[in-house]
Amino acid sequence: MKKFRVEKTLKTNSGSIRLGHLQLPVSSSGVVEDGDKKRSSERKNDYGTPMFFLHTQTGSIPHITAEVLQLIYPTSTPSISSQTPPVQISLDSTTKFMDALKKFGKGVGKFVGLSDYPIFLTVHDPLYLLRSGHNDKFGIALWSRHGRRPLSPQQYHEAATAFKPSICQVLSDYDVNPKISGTKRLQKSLDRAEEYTSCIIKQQETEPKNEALGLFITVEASWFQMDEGRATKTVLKLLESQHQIEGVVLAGLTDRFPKKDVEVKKNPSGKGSSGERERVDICQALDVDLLEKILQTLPPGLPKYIPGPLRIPEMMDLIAKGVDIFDSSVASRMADDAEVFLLDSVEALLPSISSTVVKLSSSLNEGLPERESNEKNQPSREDEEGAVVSLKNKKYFDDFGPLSSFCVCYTCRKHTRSYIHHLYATDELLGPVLIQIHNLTALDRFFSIMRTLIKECDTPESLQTKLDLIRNLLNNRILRQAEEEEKVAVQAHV
Amino acid sequence: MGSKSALSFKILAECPVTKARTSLMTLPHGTIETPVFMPVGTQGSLKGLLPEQLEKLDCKLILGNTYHLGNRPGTDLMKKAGGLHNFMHWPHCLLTDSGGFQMVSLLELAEITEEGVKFKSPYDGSECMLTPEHSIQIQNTIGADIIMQLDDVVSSTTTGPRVKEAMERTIRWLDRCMAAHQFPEKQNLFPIVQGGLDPELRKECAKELIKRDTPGFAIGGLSGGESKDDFWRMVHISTDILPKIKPRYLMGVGFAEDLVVCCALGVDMYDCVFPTRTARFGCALTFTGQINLKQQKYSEDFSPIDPECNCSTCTNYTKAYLQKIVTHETVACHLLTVHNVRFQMRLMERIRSNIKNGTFVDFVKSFMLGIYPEKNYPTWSKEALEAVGINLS
Repeated sequence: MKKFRVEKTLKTNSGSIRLGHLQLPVSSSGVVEDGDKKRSSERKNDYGTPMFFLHTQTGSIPHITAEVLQLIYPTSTPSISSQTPPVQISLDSTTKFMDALKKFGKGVGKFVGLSDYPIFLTVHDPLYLLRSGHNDKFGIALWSRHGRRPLSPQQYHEAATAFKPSICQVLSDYDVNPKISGTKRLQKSLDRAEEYTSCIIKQQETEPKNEALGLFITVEASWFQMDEGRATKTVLKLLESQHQIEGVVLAGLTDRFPKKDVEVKKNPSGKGSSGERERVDICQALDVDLLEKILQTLPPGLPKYIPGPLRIPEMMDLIAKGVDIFDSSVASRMADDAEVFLLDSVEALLPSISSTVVKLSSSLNEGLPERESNEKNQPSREDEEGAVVSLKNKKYFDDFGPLSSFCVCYTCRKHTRSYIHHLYATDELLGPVLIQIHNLTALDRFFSIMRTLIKECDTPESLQTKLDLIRNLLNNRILRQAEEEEKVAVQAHV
Repeated sequence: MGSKSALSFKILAECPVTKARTSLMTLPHGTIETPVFMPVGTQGSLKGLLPEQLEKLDCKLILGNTYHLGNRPGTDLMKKAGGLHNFMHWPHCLLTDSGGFQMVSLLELAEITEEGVKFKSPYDGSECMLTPEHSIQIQNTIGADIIMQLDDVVSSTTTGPRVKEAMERTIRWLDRCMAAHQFPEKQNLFPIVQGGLDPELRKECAKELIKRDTPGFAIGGLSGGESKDDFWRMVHISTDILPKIKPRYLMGVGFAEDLVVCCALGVDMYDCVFPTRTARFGCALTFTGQINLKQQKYSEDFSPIDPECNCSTCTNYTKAYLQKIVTHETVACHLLTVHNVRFQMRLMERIRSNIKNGTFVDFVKSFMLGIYPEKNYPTWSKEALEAVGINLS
């Protein structure tokens, strides 16, 4: 049974914008017998797309415990105006879980305290760059703070069995870098893609337990950069066993390898400190032409996921091309830098462009006391409503307003910019918690706005106009912000 | 009790054997059941926990540090924000220290004179003077329910004339603090019993302090590396003198065993960074001692830290998962902080309900047996409990 169905497609000049549904049962044998299943099965695990998965590291959303996650998404039933996102867990950040999970038997969701959430098992944490030179005929290399760990298709199958995710990404020989790899290397990667995919499908078939497990194949952008013809041929081959394949991970469109591909040191044991792992920067510009080429080869009936930290305007571009799924790794990154999404300008615009976008109301967070308003102390901030701001900026020192005056999240209802600025100035752990709460709420809000707009627009033109309006609003703000920061920098220099 | 007080203290039950009692302490921001443990939220937040999480843990009184808050965000902002309650959105009770304790920890930077404490700001290197008046002024701005006098703290292992000088100066500084205190009807100023490890100095100090009409009293200068043998005697001497009708606060104490023993000695309030600090190092508190979750032996242990604990950590997470993430993920720190704070609250709940039920002595015995199943009790706790009528052997 297919987990994905497209409800509506609007073809614009830049691509096909789709509204879809992804069914994600909290799957698999172990959980069913567990009694937890009862609670989860009451939930309608039908997710509207475009959507995002909650990014985790070592099984937890950075800074957010299960208890706090309940505060972020208080409604348990997904609706068009708000849906508790499912969870993405990467195998590289959980390599140490294997032995325990085999014995545990109830799956990774239960293990990490998120038993109510469907799990998408991916291979790599989208916030870290990969290293070249360690994939071989036995399998691929995973990188974590524990160093390198080889992973064969057989081991991957074992992991998927023990993790019991709702869906899982097929591993891929990622080590193709158009700048340095030759055609032989490309061919190896393509051959291995076929090998890994058929191997995992074969193993799936022998294990009826895993019926509910959906597979997302991995398509590497670098294949298309190097040889479109061969890449297309391989992708079509991968899709031959379509009834097993539920979706596609478009890998390598955001940063993959260190810019200077230098090995810090040869370290055959693979033991290295976390300091050696390089983080991915928030992706500023994505190769949209390349993406279009790839999308042309893929059947429209499959959902497409682009992992990695992307800002909202970039996500909008990709949604316009027909990408369905993202992750919240951008929020994980932003929490480190005290950066917050501000959708105020979009919220202010909404009533004029949409009749059905649900206005945010406090009923979402019923039971929370109102933040005492301190309006007279709120400086005017017309110049910055929108896009992204960093609360580390000194100008928030005595700003007693909420992060966003439209937002109804726990943080915005209870805390001030001044307080959050103080928490970051003093390195208090609560700072990133409050910002994650807000940003994860804002991401949910953004995707629900996208879904509503797609749903209510009759023509591609009207949708495109609305998306352009929003995108320009967010981009102008970003530009203005950049100008302002430049000004400050110049002044500081003088 | 004086007319200008923002505290009422009602004893609900007393242990017929020991000096333990359980009471209701009503403060401007709520009523607290004592004996109570106060977790430390140094800079206006409690180690990553949301106010709502603290409420769920039944924690309604936390401590802030005047020294840190006075530096960052500073009193001007605190005033603008309308005090710490507003600033951190905490509707329940707060206590601030005087900033004096930080002097001991920053002693190489500080010079103590009759006027106050001169020190270099660790943030910008500027010279600052913290006088009793200044400390109270900052604490008045922060607006906690209970504020502490500036005391002349000497390390608890100091001996000689400096201890006497510090004790006497503490009394003089109390009078200056009381004179400087602007809001006695909103904030309760507690004096601090000093006197090092000298029984006579302790007695003299306590006797002098109780001549002033203050809403409660603190016992300070302990829990700084002195022998446990000295520690309990100083507490015992102090609680003998301090009036029964007012709350007694033992500063800087938070190990489970110390809490149980000191409750028997008649102490009502405690604070300590230990439960939250040890959480950051991957340690979880239980009724049979603390466990270090980094240890490999927990890697396939699918039970919660404490099956009887009702905190969100024990409800959702196994030791095996915690073992995978402690000391690497901030989430692990949050999870253990939640559990450890809840542990402290549960311990105090048990102490209170056993005092109420008249079963405190039995509770102490079974608690001690839980930690020392071989009955190899430390001499100090055996002696301390004997002094109030509990025989462990």
